[in-house]
Amino acid sequence: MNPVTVQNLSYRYPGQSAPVLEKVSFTLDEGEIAGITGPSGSGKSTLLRLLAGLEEPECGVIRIGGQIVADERRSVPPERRGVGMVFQDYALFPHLRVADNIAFGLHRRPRRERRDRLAQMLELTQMTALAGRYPHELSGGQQQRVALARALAPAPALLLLDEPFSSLDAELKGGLREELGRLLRQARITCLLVSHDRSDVRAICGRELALGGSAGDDDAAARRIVDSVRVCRGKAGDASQQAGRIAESSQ
Amino acid sequence: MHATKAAAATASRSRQRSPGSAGWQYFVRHHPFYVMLVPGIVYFLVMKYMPLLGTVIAFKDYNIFKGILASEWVGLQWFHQLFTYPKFLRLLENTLLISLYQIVFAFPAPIVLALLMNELRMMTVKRIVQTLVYLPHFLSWTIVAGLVYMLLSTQTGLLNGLYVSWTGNAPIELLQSADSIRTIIVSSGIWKEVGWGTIIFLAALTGIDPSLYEAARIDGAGRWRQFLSVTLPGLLPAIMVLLLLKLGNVMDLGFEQIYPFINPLNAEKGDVFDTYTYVAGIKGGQYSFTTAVGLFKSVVGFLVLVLANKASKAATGEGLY
Ligand SMILES: Nc1ncnc2c1ncn2[C@@H]1O[C@H](COP(=O)(O)OP(=O)(O)OP(=O)(O)O)[C@@H](O)[C@H]1O
Ligand SMILES: [Mg+2]
Repeated sequence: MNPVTVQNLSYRYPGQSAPVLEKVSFTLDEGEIAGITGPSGSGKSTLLRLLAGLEEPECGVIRIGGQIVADERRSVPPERRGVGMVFQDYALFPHLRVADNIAFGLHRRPRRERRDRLAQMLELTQMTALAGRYPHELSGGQQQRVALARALAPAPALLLLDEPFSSLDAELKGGLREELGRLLRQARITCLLVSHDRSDVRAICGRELALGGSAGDDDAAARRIVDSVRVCRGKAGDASQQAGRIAESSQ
Repeated sequence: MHATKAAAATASRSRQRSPGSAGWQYFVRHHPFYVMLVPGIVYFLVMKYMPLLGTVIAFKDYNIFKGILASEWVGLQWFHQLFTYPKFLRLLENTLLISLYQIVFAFPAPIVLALLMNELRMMTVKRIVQTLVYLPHFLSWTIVAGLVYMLLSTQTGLLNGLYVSWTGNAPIELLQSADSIRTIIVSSGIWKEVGWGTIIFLAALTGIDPSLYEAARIDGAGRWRQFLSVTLPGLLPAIMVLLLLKLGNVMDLGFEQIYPFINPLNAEKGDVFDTYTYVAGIKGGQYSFTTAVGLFKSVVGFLVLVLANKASKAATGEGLY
C-alpha cells in the first residue's frame, strides 16, 4: 500500500493549448523522501499544486493515503487531502507570530492538543526560543523552519516542498540542506521535494524523479517522469528499484 | 549643539580637501535631477508657502485697500470673536458630527465595495462594474446636489412623487428638515466617491501574495478565516494611512459638498465652518476673521493628525511618518 500513487496525470492551464504535464505516473513509499528535478517551466510546481489540490487535473488519478483525492470526476479540497506544503517563498503570515503561524492549521483541535503539538513542532525545528517573533524578524533559514513546522503541524500524510532553498544564498544553503534532511527523516514523513538543482536532491532525497521538458525532446515522452532512479542513501535502496519499475511501466 | 556643528564643519572641510569639493562634484554629476526638482520646489513655494504668509492677516485688521503689510495688528481679537461667537459651538458640533459620520459610514464603504468587486471572477463584468462605479466621481458636487433635489424635492422630486402617488400622504420634506440633512450630505457623498475610493484598495488587494491564500486553504481556513488572516492584514497598511489622512481633515468637509444643500430650514444642523467662512468671509468681506477660522481649523486638524499618528504607531507599529 503506497501512501502516494499518481497515475497518468495530465494537466493544462486554462486557455493554454499545450499541456504542462502529460501522463505522469509515479508512486512514493511510506516515509520516502523523493526529489523532483527538471528545467525551469517543466511543470514541477504545477505537479505539487495538483497534489495539494490547488489545481484540478485534466485526467489521471491521484491517491494519497489510500484515498482517491482526484480523478476525472471528483476533487477533494486541499484541507481534506492530508497534505502539507512549504511554499517557495514560505508564505508565512506576516502579522502572526511564529507560534501562531505554526498553530494556524490546528484551530479545529482541542486546545490542549494544539498546545502540545505546537510545543512539539517548536522543539523539532528548534524554534522554541523564537516563538514570539514575527516572520520579518527571522533569518531566511529560520523562516524556512517555521514554514516546515507549520506544514508538519497538522500531521499530513504527505509533505510537499517547492524549491525550499531558492530564496537562500549559497553559503547558507549547504548547512540548511543537511539540517532539512535530518528534520524530514526525524519527522518520518513521506515527502516530495522540488528543486531545479540536482545537488539539493542528491543531498536530501533517496530518489530523484526527473521531469523532462526541454524543447528538443519528443513531446509526449518529455512531459513524463522519465528516468532517474538514483540511490543516494543506502536506506532507500528498495524504494529505488521499485520506482524504477514504476517509471518504466509508465512509459 | 555647538560641538556637533563644529564637528560637521571640520568633516566638510576635510572632505573639501580633494580638488573641487565632493558635494559640488556630486551635484554636478547629478545635475539633471536637481533641474527636475525645480518645478516642484517652485510649485510648493508659490502655491503652498507664499499663501501661508498671508495667514498673518488672522492677526491683523486686514483692509484690501491698505494691503497686508499696512493693515493694523489686532492680536488675537479675531480668535476671541470666533470663540465667543454665539453659534461657534453649533458650527463645531455640526462639523465634527458630519466628519464622524463620514469616518464611520463613508470611510469603510469603498473597502467593502473593493472586497466585493475583488470576488468578481469574470474580467469583462469586473471592468464594466469598475467603470460604472468610477463615473459619479467625475460629476461636480453641484450636479450631485442637483440630482438629489430631483429625487427628493417636494414638488418635482421623483421619489417624493412616487411616495405621494402610492400612499396618498403629503410629500416628505427631507431637504427642508434639519434632522435629515446630515444623512443626505453623507450618503450623497458616499454615492459620488465610493467607487473612486475602491481604486487604492483594489491595488492593495492585488498586492497580496496569492500563496498566502493557498497556504491558508491547505491549513483548512474557510473564506471567512482567509479574509481575517490574509485579506484584512494585507489591507491594513492602506486603511491606516487613509484613516490618518482623513483624521487630519476632520475640520475640512469641503465647502462644495455641503453648501448646495444648506437652506435656512436646515442650517441649524448643516452649517459647518467651511460654509460659514464662505458666507462671512467672501460674502461679508470679513477676511481677517475667516482667515482666523481657517487657521483654527488647520491647527486642530494638525493636532488630531499628530495624536492619531502616535496612537496608530503605538497600536500597530504603522504610521504616516
Ligand atoms: N497560472 C498559469 N497560467 C498559465 N500557465 C502557467 C501558469 N503557471 C504556470 N504556467 C506555465 O506552466 C509551465 C510550468 O510551470 P511551473 O511553474 O510548474 O514550472 P516549474 O517547473 O515549477 O518551473 P520553475 O523551476 O521555474 O519554478 C510553464 O511553462 C508556465 O509558463
Ligand atoms: Mg516552480
